[in-house]
Amino acid sequence: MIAFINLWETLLAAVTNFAVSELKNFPDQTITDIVKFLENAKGDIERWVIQYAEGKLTADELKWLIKGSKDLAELLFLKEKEFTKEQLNHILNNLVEVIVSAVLKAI
Amino acid sequence: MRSYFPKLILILLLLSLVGCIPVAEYDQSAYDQAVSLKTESLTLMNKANESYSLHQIESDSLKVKVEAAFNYSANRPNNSESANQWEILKDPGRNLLFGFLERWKGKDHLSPEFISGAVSLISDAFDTIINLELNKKQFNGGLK
Repeated sequence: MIAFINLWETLLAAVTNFAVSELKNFPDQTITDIVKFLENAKGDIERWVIQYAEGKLTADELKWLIKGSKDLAELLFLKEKEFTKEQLNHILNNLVEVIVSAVLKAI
Repeated sequence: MRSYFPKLILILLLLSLVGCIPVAEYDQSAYDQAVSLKTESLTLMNKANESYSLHQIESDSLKVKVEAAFNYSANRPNNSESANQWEILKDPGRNLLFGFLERWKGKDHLSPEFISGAVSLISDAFDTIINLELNKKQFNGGLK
């Protein structure tokens, strides 16, 4: 559990850095919405990471599920009128890279 | 030109009342369709620890129904947000419902932990579609 807390802190730091560099031209509310989405996804990601560490999920399955979270986020953020489809896709794809990279490095 | 002016003012006033963004009317059939497809999808997904070949007919039938829900949604006026949500859910290149069915087909059967994770995601995706439909009821009800 301690390992997951460390991972989550690393992850939030990586996402915050990402937000500062990639989302600087977007309203604060958009960044807040993305962080809120991650907080909501935290329970699922925590469970998947533990299952991966226990050998119950493969790396490929873990990546599939995290990318699924990204697709779910896209579905949720359709209401964000500040984004074009391409911008949203670019932001979320990069976000997935940040998350997968942080998770796989930490385990 | 002058005779159109009062109508133009009226249209502008109406648009300002609804925040300038036309929103589709609530549709009970669309809501029922989404709720029913959520149940059917999650029930089928929970069988993915078995061979895909045993459930191919159910999978094909589900895909047809989801396509029909997308088409119904896409043909309603001012309903692009809902139609876009269905489009994401049914895209086999994404990791939601049709992506899951493709993976099941490719791997023949899936692990219980993976199924559980995917069920959680796709349940949330359906809830998002269902809640958007419900919000239309509140939005349009609020204008009366």
